Amino acid sequence: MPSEKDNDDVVRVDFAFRRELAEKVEGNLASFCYQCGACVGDCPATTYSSEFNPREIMLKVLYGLGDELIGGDSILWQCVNCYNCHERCPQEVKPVEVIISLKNMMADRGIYPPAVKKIIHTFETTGRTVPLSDAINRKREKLGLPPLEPVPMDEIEKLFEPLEEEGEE
Amino acid sequence: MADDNNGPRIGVYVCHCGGNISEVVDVDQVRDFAGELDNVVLSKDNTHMCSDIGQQLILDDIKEHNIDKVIVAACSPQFQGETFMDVLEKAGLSPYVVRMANLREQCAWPHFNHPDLATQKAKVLVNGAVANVRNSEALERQSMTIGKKVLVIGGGIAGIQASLDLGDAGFEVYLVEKDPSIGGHMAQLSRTFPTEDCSACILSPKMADVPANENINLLTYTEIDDIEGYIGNFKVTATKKARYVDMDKCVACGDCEKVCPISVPDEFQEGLRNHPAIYAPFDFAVPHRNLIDDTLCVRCGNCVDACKEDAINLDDEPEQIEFTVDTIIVATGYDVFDPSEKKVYGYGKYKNVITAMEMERMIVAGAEGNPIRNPGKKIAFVQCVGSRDEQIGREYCSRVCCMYATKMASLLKHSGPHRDVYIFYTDLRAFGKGFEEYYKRAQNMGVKFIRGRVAEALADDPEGRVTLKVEDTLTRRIIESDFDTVVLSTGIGLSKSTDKVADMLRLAKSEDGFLKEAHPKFKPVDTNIEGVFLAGTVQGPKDIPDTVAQASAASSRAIRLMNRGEYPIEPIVAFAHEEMCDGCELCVAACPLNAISMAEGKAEVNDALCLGCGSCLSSCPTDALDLHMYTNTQMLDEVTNALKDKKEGETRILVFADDTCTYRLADSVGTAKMSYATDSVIIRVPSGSRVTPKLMLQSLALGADGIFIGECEDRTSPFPHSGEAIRENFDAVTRILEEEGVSPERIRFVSFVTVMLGGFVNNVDSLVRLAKDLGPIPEDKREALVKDLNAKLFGVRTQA
Repeated sequence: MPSEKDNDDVVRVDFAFRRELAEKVEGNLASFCYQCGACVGDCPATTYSSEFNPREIMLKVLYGLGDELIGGDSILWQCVNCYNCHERCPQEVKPVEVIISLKNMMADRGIYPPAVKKIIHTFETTGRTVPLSDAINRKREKLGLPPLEPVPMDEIEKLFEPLEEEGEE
Repeated sequence: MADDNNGPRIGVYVCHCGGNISEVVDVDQVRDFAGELDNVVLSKDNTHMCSDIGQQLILDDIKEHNIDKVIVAACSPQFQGETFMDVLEKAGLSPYVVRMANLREQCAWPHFNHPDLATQKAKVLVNGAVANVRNSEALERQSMTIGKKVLVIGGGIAGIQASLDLGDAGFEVYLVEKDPSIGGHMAQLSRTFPTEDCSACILSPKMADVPANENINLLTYTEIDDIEGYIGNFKVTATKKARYVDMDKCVACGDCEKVCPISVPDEFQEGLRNHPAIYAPFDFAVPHRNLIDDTLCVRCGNCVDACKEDAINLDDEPEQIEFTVDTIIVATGYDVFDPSEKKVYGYGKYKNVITAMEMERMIVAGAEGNPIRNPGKKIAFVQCVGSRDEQIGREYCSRVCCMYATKMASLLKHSGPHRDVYIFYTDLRAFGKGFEEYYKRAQNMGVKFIRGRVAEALADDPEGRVTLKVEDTLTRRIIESDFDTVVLSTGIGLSKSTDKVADMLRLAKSEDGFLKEAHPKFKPVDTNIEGVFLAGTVQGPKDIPDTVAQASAASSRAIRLMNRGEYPIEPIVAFAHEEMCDGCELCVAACPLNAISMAEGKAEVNDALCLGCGSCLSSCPTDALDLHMYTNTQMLDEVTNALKDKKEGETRILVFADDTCTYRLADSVGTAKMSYATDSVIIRVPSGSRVTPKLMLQSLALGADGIFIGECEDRTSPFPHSGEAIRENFDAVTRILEEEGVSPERIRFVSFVTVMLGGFVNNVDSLVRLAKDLGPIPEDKREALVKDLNAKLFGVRTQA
C-alpha cells in the first residue's frame, strides 16, 4: 500500500469545498478564470503584501485547495474589497465576490479575526458596517451629497429574524 | 402487419446507431410497434441505417416488396436526411416520400436516464412520421437555369483572391469596393508573419491583376444600395460615388495635391500623416488615380487650374448602376477594435499609447527612410485589447494579434538591436504553420515575452513615458515599469459596413458577431442564403493565408452552383388548391415576398420566389392555400397520431420546431445529453409561421395540453416577418381560447438562436409543468374549440 506521503505532489481536489463555495453568492465564478493576472497588477493588497495574490486565490479555488484558503490565519482577510479586480477582470470572474464568499464560509465556521466580530456588532447595533459620524456627513456635504440618516433598526432586526428561526429548527 | 394493396406501402427502418439509440431505446419494441401501424408493410431494424448495408436494405425492399414510402427512425434529418432522399431517388421513387423519426437526438440522448419513457416517445415519433408520410406527395426535384455572373463585395485580399479565381475560371465578376482603391487592410501592413514578406510587395502584383483580368468589372468607390432577388437572379443597385477626377485622363502626377489648401489626417496612414482633399489613396493604389473627397473640398478651384490633363470636374455627380448576378461572395472584412473603449489603457489620452496598426504604419515609414516618429528604446505590446474580454462582449480570440505582435517586435529588434521589446500576453497562441518556430526565433532575438494581462497604463505627462502595471504570472512578480511606446494589440471585429449588406441579404450572424457559415465543419463558406458565400474575416478572425484559402473556397463553391448552367431547387413551396380558392386575395397581402398573385381569379404562387415558410396558409379562409411536404392533411395526420395513444392522466405538449433554428437547437440539446420533459413531442416545420391558428386549435382539441412554437429570431431567420406572422396567429388563437375559457398560457411562442440550449430546455419543461398544473382541457371545451372553426377564425380575423 502506498502511504499518503507518496502522493503528496498530486493536487487533491476538495470537492466538498468546491460544492460549498458554489452555493454561495457568485461563489462558482472562479471556474471561468483563465489566470491572466489582470486582477493582480492593480491590487492594493498585493502592493503591500506580496503573499496576497487574487489570481493565485482563484487558482486555488479551481484546484479545490480549501485548506490553503480557509483557516485561522487566512490570507483572505487582507482583501480590502476595493473592487479593482472586478473592474479589470476580462472574464467577469469577480474575484472580490469569490473572496467574499470564501470569507462567508469562514464565518460559517466561526473563524474570523476579532476586527470582523466588531464590524458584525456595529452592523447589528447601527445597521452599518462603518458607523455614522459627523466627519462622514461633512465630507458628503462637500461633495454635494445629502447627509446620511440613521438606519431604521426595526428593519435590520427583521433581517436577522429568519436566521434565528432557522437556528431553532 | 397491414397489407392493403390499394393504399401506400410503407417500410419502417429502425436504426441502432451502433448503440447510440439501442442502448437506451428498446429498438425491438419500436420495430414491432411500427409493424402494426396502418399501411406499414414491413418494419426492420439495423445497426447502421446510414451505412451502405443499411441503404442497400431499403433499395432491396423497394424492389422486392414494392415499398413506396419510407420511414427511417434513426438520427436527426439534419444529419442524414439527404442520404435517404438520395436512396429513394436511386430506387426511382420521389425523394420526398421519406421521413425520419429522430430517435437519437430526441429520445435516446436527452432521455437516456428514462429508457422506458424514451422508448414510449420513440413510438410516438414513429407513429407521427408514418401518419405524415402516408399522404406525402411524390414531389420531384426541380431545377432552374443559372448564369455565370458573380458579385464580390469588398476589395481586400479576400475579395481580390475570389475575383481573380472566378475571373480566371471564365466567370464574370463585379468586384465592388467602397473605398477608392482595392487592397484592404493588407495594403497597410508592414510585413506578413511568419515569413516576413513585405506586405505591399506581395499584394501589389495581385492588385494589378484585377483590372487586367478581362472578366472582372472593378467598381471602386462604389456602395451597394440594394440587393433583391435570389440565387440565379440577384438584382444589385449600387452607387458609384463622384470622384471629381476623370479616371481616363488622370495620370496621378500629384500636381493637384500641391495646390490644395486642405490638410486632413490620412486614414490609410492611421491618421499619422495628412493628405489634401484631392489625393491618391496610396502609392500602389488600384486604380492609381486621384480623387476629391467631397466632404473636405472647399471648391477653391486651385486643382482645376493646376491639372495639365484637364482631368478635374468639380460638377461630377454620383452615378447609380444596376446589374444582375447569379451568386454573391461577401468579403467585407473587419474593423480594428477601438481601444478608447478600454479606458484603463489610456488610448487617446496618452500620446505614446498607440494601436498595432499605427505601429505597422510607423514601421513601414521607417523602412522607407521617411520615419513618422521614433518609437524609442523601450517598447511594450499589450495583448488581448478587444479580445477574450467579456466586459466588452468579445469573448473570442482575434487569432492574429499574438503573431503580428511577435512580428513587429522582431522587426523593431532587427532594426534596433539595442531596443528592449516586451510582449505582455494572456496566452500565447502560435498555432499556425511556422508560427511556433517564429515565436522561438523572436525569443532568441531577445524579445521578452511576459505572461500577464496588463492591469493599467498610466502617465503623469500625456506626452511622456507610460507606466504599465502587470503581474508576471509565471514568476508571481509585479512589474511596474516605464515604456517609451505602448502598442495595444487590438483585436478585430466585423466591419460596420457589413451590417447593411447582411441585412439586405438576410444573412445570419453567429454569437461572436461575425457572419455565420451554413455549417461550421462542412459548409464553412456557405451561408443561410443559397448562392451567397463568405470569404475572409467577415466569417471570423483569420490571418492572410486562411483568408486566401477561404476566398478560393468561396469562389469554388460559387462555381459549383453556376458551372452546370442549371441549379436544383426545393419543391417545398406553397400552392393553391384551385377548386377551393374563392379569389379573396388575402394571401396576396400576407406573403412577405410578394410571391402570390391572382391569375383568372385564383391564387397562383411563383415557385422561384416562394421560400416555403407557409405563413400564407393562415390567411386563407377556405384552406385553399397549402404547402408541399407540409400539407394541411399531413400536418393534421401527424398531430393526430402523435396524440393518439395518450392515456388518461398523461400530459403531452407539441413543440412545433422551425427547421432552421429550433429543430437544430433541439438536436444540440440532445447531443449535449441535456434532459427535458419526455412529455413533449417535437414536430418539424419549415417555419413557426407554418403552424396555422387552425392547426393549433385542432391540436388542442385532439388532446395536446400545450403548444410551443419555436422560431428563429428575426435577424437570423431565413423567412422575413415570420415572427410577426406567428404573433398574429397567436393573437387569433388567444382570443378564441379566452372565449372558450381555455387558458391562453397553454400556447407559447419563443424566438431562438441555435445556441440557446438552456432556453429550450427551460421553456419545454416549464410549459409541461404548467400543463400538468392546469390539468387536461375538458372534453366539452375541446369540442367547442373546433366547432365552426373556419367561421370563428374568420370572425376573429375581421375583428382584428
